[in-house]
Amino acid sequence: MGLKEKVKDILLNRPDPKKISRGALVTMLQTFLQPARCFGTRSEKRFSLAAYRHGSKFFKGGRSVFTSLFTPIEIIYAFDFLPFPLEPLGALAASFGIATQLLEETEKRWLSSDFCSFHRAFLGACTLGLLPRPLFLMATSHACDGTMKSFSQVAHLVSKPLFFIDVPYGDQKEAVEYAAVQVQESVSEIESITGRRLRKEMLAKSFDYSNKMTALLSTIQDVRKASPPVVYGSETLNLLMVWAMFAGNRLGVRILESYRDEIQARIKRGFQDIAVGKRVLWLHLRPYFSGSIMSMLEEEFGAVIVAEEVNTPVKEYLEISNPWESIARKLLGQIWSGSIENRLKNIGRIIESHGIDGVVHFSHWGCRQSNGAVRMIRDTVAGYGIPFLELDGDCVDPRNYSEGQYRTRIEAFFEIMERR
Amino acid sequence: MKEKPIFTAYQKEIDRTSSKKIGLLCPYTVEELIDAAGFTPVRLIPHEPNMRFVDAYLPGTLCSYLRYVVDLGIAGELKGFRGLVINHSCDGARRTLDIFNTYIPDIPTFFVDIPKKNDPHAARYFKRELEKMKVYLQELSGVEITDSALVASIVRYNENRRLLQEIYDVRANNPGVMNAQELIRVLDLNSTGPKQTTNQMLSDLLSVSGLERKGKRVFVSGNIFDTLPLLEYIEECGGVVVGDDFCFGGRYFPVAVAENEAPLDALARRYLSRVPCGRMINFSERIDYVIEAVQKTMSAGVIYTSLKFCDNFLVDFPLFRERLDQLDIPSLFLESEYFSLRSGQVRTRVEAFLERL
Amino acid sequence: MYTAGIDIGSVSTEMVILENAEPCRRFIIQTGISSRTAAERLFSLLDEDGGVKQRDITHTVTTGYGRNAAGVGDRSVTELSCHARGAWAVNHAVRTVIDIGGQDSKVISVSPDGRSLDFIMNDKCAAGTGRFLEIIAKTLELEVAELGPLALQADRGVKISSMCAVFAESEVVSLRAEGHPREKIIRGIADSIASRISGMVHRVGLEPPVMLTGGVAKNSGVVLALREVLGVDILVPPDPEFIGALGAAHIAAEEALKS
Repeated sequence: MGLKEKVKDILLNRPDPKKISRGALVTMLQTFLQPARCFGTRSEKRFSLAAYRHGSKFFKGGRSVFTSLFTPIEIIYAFDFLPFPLEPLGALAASFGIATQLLEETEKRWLSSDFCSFHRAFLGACTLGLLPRPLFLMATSHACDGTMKSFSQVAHLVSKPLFFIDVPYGDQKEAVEYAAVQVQESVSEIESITGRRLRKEMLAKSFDYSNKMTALLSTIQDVRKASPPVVYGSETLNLLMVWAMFAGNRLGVRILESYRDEIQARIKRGFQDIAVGKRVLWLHLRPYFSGSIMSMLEEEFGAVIVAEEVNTPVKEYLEISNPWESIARKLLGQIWSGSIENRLKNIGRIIESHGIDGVVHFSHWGCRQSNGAVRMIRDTVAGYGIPFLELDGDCVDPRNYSEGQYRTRIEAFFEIMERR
Repeated sequence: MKEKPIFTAYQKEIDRTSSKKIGLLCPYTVEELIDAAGFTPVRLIPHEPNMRFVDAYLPGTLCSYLRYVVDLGIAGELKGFRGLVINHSCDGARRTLDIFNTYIPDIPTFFVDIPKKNDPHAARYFKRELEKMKVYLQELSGVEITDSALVASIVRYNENRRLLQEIYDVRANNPGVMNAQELIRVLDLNSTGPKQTTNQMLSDLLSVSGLERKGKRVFVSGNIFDTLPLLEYIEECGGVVVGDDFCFGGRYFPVAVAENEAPLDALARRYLSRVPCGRMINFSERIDYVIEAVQKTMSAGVIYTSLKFCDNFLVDFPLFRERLDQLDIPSLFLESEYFSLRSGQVRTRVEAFLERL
Repeated sequence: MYTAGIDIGSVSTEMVILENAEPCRRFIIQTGISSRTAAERLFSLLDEDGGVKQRDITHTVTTGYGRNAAGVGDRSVTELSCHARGAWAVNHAVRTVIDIGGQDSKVISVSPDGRSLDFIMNDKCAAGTGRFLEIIAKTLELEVAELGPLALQADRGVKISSMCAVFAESEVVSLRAEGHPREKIIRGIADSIASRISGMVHRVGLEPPVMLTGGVAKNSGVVLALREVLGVDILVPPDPEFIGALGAAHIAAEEALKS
């Protein structure tokens, strides 16, 4: 039985979180034994191993905390608990080829398929008993309405408390205050339900790691500005996962340092293995099930992704002298918070700094906060005189995927870039 | 069917007594502030099932109500409004706000954030939002909003809530007093006219009697639609609609604003305490409210409706269903675009559902 | 110099031959199940026709659904770029192209020099494609070619409420049973297609002059409905189903000159 089949079998036929942990261990060992050149970079192998190890500890339970993609997990690490972001579970399920089963499970229970498949996937996993019992859940209201809905339902299913940070609009004093007091109160409540006190020196360490990671992400984005690409965007899109899993953890620092060093080393020695015809900015996420649209774009057509908007670090440094407020500012500074302006400004900034030839937006089904902005993004990009491509699809649900349809669009987009 | 003269008369009266209009989309908009500033808060209600321009601005996989609102804006049909208030109702509303700010600048649009929680911190934050809204309205009208003007508006709105509650109670006991068409007309008039005038209308309506009407008692739950076709199908198929929890219907009037407190504090508290929308973290209180109402009105079944692409309401349905199933209350789930409740497919489902009751 | 453009669609395949960048031959066949044999059959037709032989052709570009599987040609280019180029070749002023083919529809924004600037495609849903008209023609027991003139006889159409082509079929049966005249029904279908297309046009941005290409352009009812819903004149070229192949042949000519 191949690796994928093994994992699938364990996950669907014998859904016991402890067994999954063992399954993850098997996968980890096999990954460990695979040579680095099977991965795009050595850093990718390193991250995969770290993610599996983390995942297997998480599935074992005992210290697990369910978090959302933008939860300030520095806090969770400072408590010495294990955070795991649920939305990426949808991505993982897709890459293991079990997303369809998870989604079908939710469809049986009247859950609307208008809803984002990332959320539906982890709801399905929860209903099927694939998730460990968490200590509690912690989520924020951004990037979308769906987060509160899905996390509330999971909390209800596992009968555990949800600590929810309602992130307001804007960055004015009262918005910062409102966000900060919620973070502070969540910490107090976590202390009281777990009986564990948050120690300041642990939080300071966590902040330190997080700040280092912010600086590293910034560097990684910067070094890719002018140089020819030395790594494919379909790999660097995963840096978002590094953040979501390890922000505030020493592992996160190590992994990003590894990426930074490897990218810089490749640039220095004149890495030639990526043939580039055009430089692309990729907006939002990508399909995680098997399918070749990313390699089609980057390898076949040589339209290489040199920047991803999801990896834009929020340049707010966490200060231990003012912890709740600085966390609040960081949440409010996200490009996904508030009005569309931050996002559009960021897109413009990247187009200018990275010599972008074309912009692609992956319009994930059900993602209204993002897809609702396409007209404005299109106009922003047009202002720079470069072409824009909107690809409709689903990041997690492989049904209704047609490679030929993507090929035509990507090819046509490349033709537009070519003939400018 | 030609409408009763009372409604035509009140439409005229509303037109006569309305002052400059401020448009709104969502019942979390604090209308009392708009009223106290001397404007008439008017809910935007699309009337024509005809989207002409919005595809260039918003995707088809987004709330059709908001798409209609944008379409009206782009088509220039909102010129009669002095301004528009958009709340942080949902992601769709966020993007609608951005579209108005970017492409329809001749209609001043003011944004009001809404917290998702109902606790003192949220109330304090919301109060600051209302303070900003007050300043904005004062600048727009050139008139100061005094505390006494605000309290007077609160009193008017509380009276409106009380009258609507009474109408709903009377109707639950005797569905004959007002049929579906009339109810929808009342709700539409009530949300598009000055409360001074519509309070009079509601008062007058309370004294009107109607024919006895019997039928299978149905409660309808939902958000924002052209619901009239659905309600008419229910009546045609032998049912009576004895209650609803629509945004501008059954969930519009519960919970009064405290009249003897500092008005902005009282308003912030009331609006966060109203029967919640699916966007609020205490959304399960809406399920409680519906079940209580179903039991109070002795409904035989619930029709749960939601706009397509509305995560806040669609994602709640499994929870609703679970509770309704536990209590053996039959339910029918209908999701639809804004105008699409008028269809043979909907009618068939309604008919089949009523046959089960 | 002779160049060729071959547009291999899912339903039909067209070939256009240019002699010194002027159209001199054109052929159309049913694609059948193999793109490769479709291309081969066309070249056989060319050779039989006399005059130009396959070996005379310096450069060939393939386009359409089967462009990569055809096994012929020097290069393949998407139908988006080819329709832009072909429409522009007919009329340099064209800025928006609407192509309604057998199984897909697209809107393309065209630059002043005939390049594609932006596009939107619908290849997921039959409503808004030629297939929809075929279904309806069959239901009403008519030939597809009869639909256009009949639609023009109605001053307005019956509103078709179904979004889906399959459901629209049963709706049409009910409407006939209720006694609605065929002209009004066909006109309603044309309005339905136009409304779908209009959504796509607005997403790309409506910039006149607008040209309609593809087989459905021969349906005068759809042309009229599009005129009404978009509020602009719609140019229809002679032989609209050849525009893709024409554009491919012109691109072939450009490439031949470069090398």
